[in-house]
This record gives sequence, structure tokens and C-alpha cells, in this order.
Amino acid sequence: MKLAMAFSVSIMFSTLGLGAQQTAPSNSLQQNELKETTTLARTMDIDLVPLPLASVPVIQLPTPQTPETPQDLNEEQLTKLLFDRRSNLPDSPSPKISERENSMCPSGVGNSCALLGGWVYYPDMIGLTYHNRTWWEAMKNPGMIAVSLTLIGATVLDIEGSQACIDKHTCREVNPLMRGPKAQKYAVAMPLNALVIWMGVREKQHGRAIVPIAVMWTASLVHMYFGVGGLYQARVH
Amino acid sequence: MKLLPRSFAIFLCLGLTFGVPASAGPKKNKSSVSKTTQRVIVFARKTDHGIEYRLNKQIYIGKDLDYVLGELHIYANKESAIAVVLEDNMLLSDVKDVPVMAVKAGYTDVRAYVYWKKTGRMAEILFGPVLKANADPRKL
Repeated sequence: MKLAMAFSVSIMFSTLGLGAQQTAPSNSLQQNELKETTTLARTMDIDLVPLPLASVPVIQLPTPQTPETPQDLNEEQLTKLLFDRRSNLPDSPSPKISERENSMCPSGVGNSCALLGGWVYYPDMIGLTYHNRTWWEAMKNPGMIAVSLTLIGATVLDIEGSQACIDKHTCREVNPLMRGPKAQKYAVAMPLNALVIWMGVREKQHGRAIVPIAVMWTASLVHMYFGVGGLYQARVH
Repeated sequence: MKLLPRSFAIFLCLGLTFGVPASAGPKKNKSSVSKTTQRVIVFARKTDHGIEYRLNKQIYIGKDLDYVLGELHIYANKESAIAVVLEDNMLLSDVKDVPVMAVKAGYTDVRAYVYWKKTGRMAEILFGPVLKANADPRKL
């Protein structure tokens, strides 16, 4: 009886903070605890006095939830515990790699890319450097349409500006191909434009768009220069 | 009155430019163009003549590969990818050559690998974030 009381008191002490660490006791620890309990019981045996139990509030101590010991399980249950439990666990979520992270240039468009030697990554959004299967597919490219229309527009501006200037007798035509009536100028200039555009698109079809585009832009700028100059001279004088 | 012949001439020229070459070519069935997912593998190695690229058992030098990749991309869809396998005798600066060509051709998924000839092993080359080179180590 005394031993039981001493044991309960030791448990109370341990739960009230003396044994704050909740660790799984090892065998050696359990032995130590038993030794301490016996020594404590021996001391309690000497100082044991009747306690006023009526005045002491009854404290319901939480009973420790001991897990089912493996010894109580049969082999089948043990197998379930050790192996099947793991297999029944939900699959760990696989990491989601964003499209950007998986890309050859993880920093994204407009940033330096290591795989491009540190150059800024700009994918060809309009496909100007891409190869095309047919001439028509290459012609449908927005870049080619833009540069072709610019060339045609600049040629019209050049012819109109030059004609306006010539009509006012403030300038003269230097280009021998363009001397003559306006219809003749158009008849010469537009087929030339058509030829240049056809050749440029053909080059673009095989992925060599840079040179023809540069040529067409330069020709457009020259046309614009003479066209605007002609219109200006016709208006001023 | 002058506006009519001018606009007619412009219309005629536009027709010549865009219409005639398009209609002159042989009619091709649009449905025959099928874009597939391509897995292109380019082997690169350094030889005495320079860098040599091997693609589909064909050997290309320099800009030839640029053209071939462009032609291949015509029939490639968006999921197509290019893997560049660089032999270990290549320089680190050569790693960019094929990716630059591939991006120009229209591919967006390009992976680079290094191949160690003696051990027969290979590994993907994955770079970290690109930083601006700075003499001050604290700013790196």
C-alpha cells in the first residue's frame, strides 16, 4: 500500500513539472526510475503522516495514452503496421515546375540567358527569322507585310513629290529611268518594287530576312527623303 | 480625275506584288502540313577544322546547321525540343552556339548536355541565375 502511494506521489511529482521532459524512456532510464522510487518510498516510510485529504481538491490526472505495444500484435498486424501503413500513405506531392523554371531561359523574356551566353532572350514573336514552307507563308509574316507596304508607300510619295516639284519647275529629275510622265514612273517603279519584294520574301522563306529587310528599309528611306523634299520644294516656291 | 488612274496603278502594283507569285506556285493542300513534336539531338565536337555538328547521322559545319534547324522547324510544333550534346573537348563559350541557332529557328525548348568521352557519361548543363559581373564581391 505504501509502495503504491509512493509510486503515485512520484508520478504526481513527475507530471507537475519535476519531470518536464517527455521522452521515450530507455531501459536504463526505467531502471533508474525504479531505484529512485524505492528510495523515495523508503524516505516516505519514515515521514508518512496522515494528510487532510478532505480539504485537498481532487485533481484528475490525465492517464497517459500508451500506444499499442508491438508485442500485443500478431504477425499479420505487425506486417500491416510496418509495411502496409507506409504504402497506404498518400503519395507525396510531386513538385510543380513552372513553365518559366523549365524554360531554357528561366529569367524569362527580356532578361539575360545563360544558355545564350548572357545575351538577352527575345524570342522572335513575329517569326521573322523562321523558315517558311511556301513563299506565300513567308509573305504573310507581319514584318514582311509592313516593310513591303512601307516600300510601296514611300515609292508613291517619291513619285508624287518629284512630280509636284517638276510641275512647279523648281527641280529636275536626276534618275534617267524616272524621266517621263507619271504613269511611266509608276510603270517603272512598281514592277521594280514587286521584284525587290518577291526576292526579299524568297530570302525570308529560307530564314535570311535581315539583308532584304535592311535593303527595303533603306530604299524606303531614300524614297521618303526625295518625296518629302519634292513636296517641300513645290510648296515653298 | 487624276485620282482614279493613280489608285488603279497602285492596285495593279499591289496585285502584281502579292497576287501573282502566290497564284503562280503549285496548289498545295493545306491539310498536308502536319506539325509534329520533334526531339532533335545535336552532337557537337571540336575537330581540327573547327566545331562539327552531327544531326541525324549527317555532319554540318557552322552555319549549315543554322539552315537545317530552320528547315526542321517548319514541321515542328510548340512542344518540340532540341538537345545539344557537347563533347568534353569543347569550350564553355561554345555552349551558346546551338541554342542561339535554335532560338533563331523558332525553338523555345533547348537543353544542353556535356558528354565525357572517357567515361561515357553525360549530364545536363544547368546554369544558375545570370548576374551582372562586378568587381565588388559584396554586390554579387
